[in-house]
Amino acid sequence: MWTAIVGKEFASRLQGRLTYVVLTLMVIGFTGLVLASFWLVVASVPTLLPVIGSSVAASTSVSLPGLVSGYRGIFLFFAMAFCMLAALAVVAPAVASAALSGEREEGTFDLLLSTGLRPRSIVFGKLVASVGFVLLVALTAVPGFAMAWMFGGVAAVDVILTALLLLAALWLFAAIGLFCSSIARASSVAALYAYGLVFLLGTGTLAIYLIGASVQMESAVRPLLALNPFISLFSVPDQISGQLAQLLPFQYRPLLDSGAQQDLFGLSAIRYPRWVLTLTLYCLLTVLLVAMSSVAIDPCHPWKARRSRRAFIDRGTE
Amino acid sequence: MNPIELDHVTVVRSREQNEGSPILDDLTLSVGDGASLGLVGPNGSGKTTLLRVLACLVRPASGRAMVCGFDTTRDPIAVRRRIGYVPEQFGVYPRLSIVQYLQFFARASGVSQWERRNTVETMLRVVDLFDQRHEEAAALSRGSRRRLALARALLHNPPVLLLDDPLAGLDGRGRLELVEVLREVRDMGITIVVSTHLLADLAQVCDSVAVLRAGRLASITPLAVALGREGRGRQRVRLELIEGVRSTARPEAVGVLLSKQPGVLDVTEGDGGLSFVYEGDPDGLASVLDRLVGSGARVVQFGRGPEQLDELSAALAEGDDMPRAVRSYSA
Repeated sequence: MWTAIVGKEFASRLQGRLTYVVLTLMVIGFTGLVLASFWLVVASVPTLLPVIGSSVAASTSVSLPGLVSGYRGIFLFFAMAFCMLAALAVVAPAVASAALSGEREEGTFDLLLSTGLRPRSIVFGKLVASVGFVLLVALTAVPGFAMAWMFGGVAAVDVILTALLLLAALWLFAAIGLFCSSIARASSVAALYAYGLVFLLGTGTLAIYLIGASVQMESAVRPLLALNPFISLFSVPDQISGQLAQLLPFQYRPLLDSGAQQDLFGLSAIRYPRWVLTLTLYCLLTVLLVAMSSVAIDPCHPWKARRSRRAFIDRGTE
Repeated sequence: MNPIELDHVTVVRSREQNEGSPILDDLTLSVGDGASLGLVGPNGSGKTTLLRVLACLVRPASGRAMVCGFDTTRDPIAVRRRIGYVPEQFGVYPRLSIVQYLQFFARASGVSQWERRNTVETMLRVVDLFDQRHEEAAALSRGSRRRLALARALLHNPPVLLLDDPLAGLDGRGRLELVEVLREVRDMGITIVVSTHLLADLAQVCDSVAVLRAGRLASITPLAVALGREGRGRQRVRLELIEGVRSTARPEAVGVLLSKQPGVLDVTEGDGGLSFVYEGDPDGLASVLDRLVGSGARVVQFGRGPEQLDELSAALAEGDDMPRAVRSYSA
């Protein structure tokens, strides 16, 4: 039954001019991004290779230009991935936060509920439609990724992991938007809440980590980094993230060091790459948010009986 | 079992609207199979909330509401699949055509793929929107939107139809068209509960009327009895004299004579005629007319008009049984 919602959402969205304007802007934006990344990564960094016969020994210390020079393809690819993640963080909450509150604003929400669709079907349908629409927009970036991949150096498994992380982040961002949409009456308020939560995820976790690490509580706050999609994305190209970490002060190195083994809340026996934890947490959070949204929109949910009964009892004892 | 049963239902206001005070207060009501019940009452009397309870959009704080044998709180999905609900205020999806709009709701309501096209076409013909089916739903007039909403509510062939003030904001033609459709729906045997401020228009649809006041059921009466068409009901009767009240030989004589007749409760003057509330059977009312004519009054109109139905609904809602008038006579 949720497919009815998906069909309606796409029929409704694709008949407006706005969709085509957004798609065109995305294509133009990502083309510009590819060119800018290309210029930054390829053109502005000189090639640093030891020259045979030179009296200057090749340097063994790690430097950013040296890394970029040595891993151009990887840097270009992940620059694109970071930009895509940032774009998803902007677009997905905006699209999803109008999904349910928009129905309330248009006066169609009661009609939707009275169809006999289960609240969870409505929420899931809205989530799939939001994710599908954002994916459609995101597909415009595929040629950019292809160009970056052609530079070489990016392992196929890294491409798959990056795609998985981006997808998981997209579902979570959309689920956050949808949850905010389920509790807010106005789409603008829902979008505000959603952006707040996504911002907290992207920068709040990093800020807490940096504060924790600077007061010698690094291991306690390190699991928070798994919630940060940008930091988790760093853990995918593990051949360079460890070297990048060497550029940071010692106490902050676990931020990027993905030899990236994570210990979960000090349980050093359990070790895995950060992206594993991120994917797991994002899936769980998405399911949780969908469930919470379903409860929020269901006027007859048993949990909602408590408050009205309490009010009734209070009135009776007055 | 009746399709609609409410057993001591109480709904309390939310925190934003003075938490704890009741919107519906210990309401008990049942509607029989194929019956059509009109809900009247002043604003805030609980008509809309009652319909929303039946549509599983509001959870009662206490009591039990059953629709077609299913509890609205325990099995809301089963209830929603058996009702068609048309709220007073509703929107349509922008950019969807009328046919796309109905196809979406048919699909969401569980109409099978094989039946969907025929069902949508049939409903479009019932509400007379077939020729406009490819137009954008958002561009429809208010009356056409109401008919579209009715078509939407009937797509899955529900045994119960809930209508919240369906005639609100419609012009005369829109009302007539919608009432005509509602009569067809009633004739299909669907149980109808309709809230209204315009009992006059819906008198052709409803066969009983429930009066709500402050969330309580004040009365529930067959419409014919409420209008005095049968039994010892009360009705407001209007009469017009050929030359106006003031030109009779004895000024106000007709009004005084009327006020002395058995069963005549209240006589008022206004709008170039007289009106009075009569309580009794039709034979008694005929005798009143005989006495008036016998006294020399030149009566050219005597009986109920559509406006009496509106007066009745207002009187029922306000609970005073005494519509306002320019002047009143007493016996």
